[in-house]
Amino acid sequence: MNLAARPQGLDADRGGPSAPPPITLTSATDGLLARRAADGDERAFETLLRRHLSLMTAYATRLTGSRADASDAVQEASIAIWRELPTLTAPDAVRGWMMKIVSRKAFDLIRSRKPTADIDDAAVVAQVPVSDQDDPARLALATDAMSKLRLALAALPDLQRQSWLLREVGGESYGEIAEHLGITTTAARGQLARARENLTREMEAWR
Amino acid sequence: MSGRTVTLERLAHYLDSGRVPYDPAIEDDPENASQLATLARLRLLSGELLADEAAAEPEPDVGWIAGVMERVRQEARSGRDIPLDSAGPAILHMTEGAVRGLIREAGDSVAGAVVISCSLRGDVSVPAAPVRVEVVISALRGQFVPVMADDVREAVTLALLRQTELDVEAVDIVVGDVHLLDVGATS
Amino acid sequence: MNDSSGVRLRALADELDAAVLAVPGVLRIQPRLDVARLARRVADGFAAVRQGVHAPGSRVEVTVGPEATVVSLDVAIARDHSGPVVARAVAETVLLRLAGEGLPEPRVDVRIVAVG
Repeated sequence: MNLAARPQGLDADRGGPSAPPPITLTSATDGLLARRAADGDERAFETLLRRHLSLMTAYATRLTGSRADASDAVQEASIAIWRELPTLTAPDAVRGWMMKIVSRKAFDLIRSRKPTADIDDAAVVAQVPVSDQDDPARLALATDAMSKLRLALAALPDLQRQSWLLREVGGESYGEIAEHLGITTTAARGQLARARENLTREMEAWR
Repeated sequence: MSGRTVTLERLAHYLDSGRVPYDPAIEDDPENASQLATLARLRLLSGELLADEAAAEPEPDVGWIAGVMERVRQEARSGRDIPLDSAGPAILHMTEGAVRGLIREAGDSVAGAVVISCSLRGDVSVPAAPVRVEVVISALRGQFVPVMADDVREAVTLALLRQTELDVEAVDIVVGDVHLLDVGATS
Repeated sequence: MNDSSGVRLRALADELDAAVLAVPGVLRIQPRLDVARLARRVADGFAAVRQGVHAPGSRVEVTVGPEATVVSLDVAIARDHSGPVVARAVAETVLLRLAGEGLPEPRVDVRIVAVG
């Protein structure tokens, strides 16, 4: 039961029939996959990537506001993850670590879109994702808390929303948030404080 | 919003710390406790929001994954270069990465065992220089059995003998303590 | 070198690809991104590298210099196969194919990068 059929990849399988198939990786923990991938096991890396890809993509889409940009950011993040896995000291926490790399690459992309002449102390403002889910008409009909949160997030100014996502979803520190957004740490704390004010007020209004 | 005795930031940090040590100024004050509950709920909902959007994501594009894996293979951490017996117009060599993959497969082939990591010690660039191999393994399920270590040692030694030209002085097996299987994990 | 030689070399690279893939134990050929190695070869006396061919879709790198023709490739082999054995077989296959082509002294560099 702990041996799975050999995954048929893109390459022709010419392996000897006498060898037992490799262990199944799909039921391995993140920690095991991260350790093996750090050790150079490409199949373990692919398994880990597939497992978290949708979350990474959703996160990158929220941050960049564009599915195409999200796809690019996640691809770059994937390669960076492969490269940097040997440096990861807490393999069991690999998912959070991967998400941080996704946000890093997402903001690299966002920054690359900005003409440098405009950037002085001006913050990098991430585009507001305008997706179907943020459609005001649709949101007005939504009654559940999650839809209300979507509405509240969409109503936030960009920096507040980005700070909130980076903190609450990404688990990033104030310093990391500041670096992504191109503002000071104090300013990042301020943005987060305001986001919390606004969101808790909205939240309480729904009760 | 008025009448709050502690800042939202302090409440958020309190949440971050797992609500320990117990803070009566927060927990025992109805207003603050209510705010704390709201923040906690917001945090939970934010995670659910992303999970919800992740669940709505389509299946990953086969070509996209293939493209990433192609780049990964090119970046493969080859490690040191291991020369093979070469003659005349042919230069033959093997990467350390290839050998480690071999070791991993050999160890995995032992029922119940899984290789966590492995390393080659010695100067592999010198043909016939003795090399020590260390393999960190763990039991896939249940308890580790000492004979598993012997089986892994034998499998690895045999594989290196048959499939490389390394002069293996010893294969040291180290038993790691890692939680390995997640029955609830989705692929 | 004129273009017809380029076309010929590309065809040769394609044939080498196919020949190597047919060697028992070979799983795939990977492009070798080794700029440093190429630079070294150039410095070592292939100064007038007349043509480095890397045909689209082909993974075998063929470099023709004034004194030698160097074919280099990274190979992934199937599990249960021996690195040295397959490397040798691949080298022999390549050298055999190059013989009689009228190219400067053929040399082959085979690196096993993965097993299984």
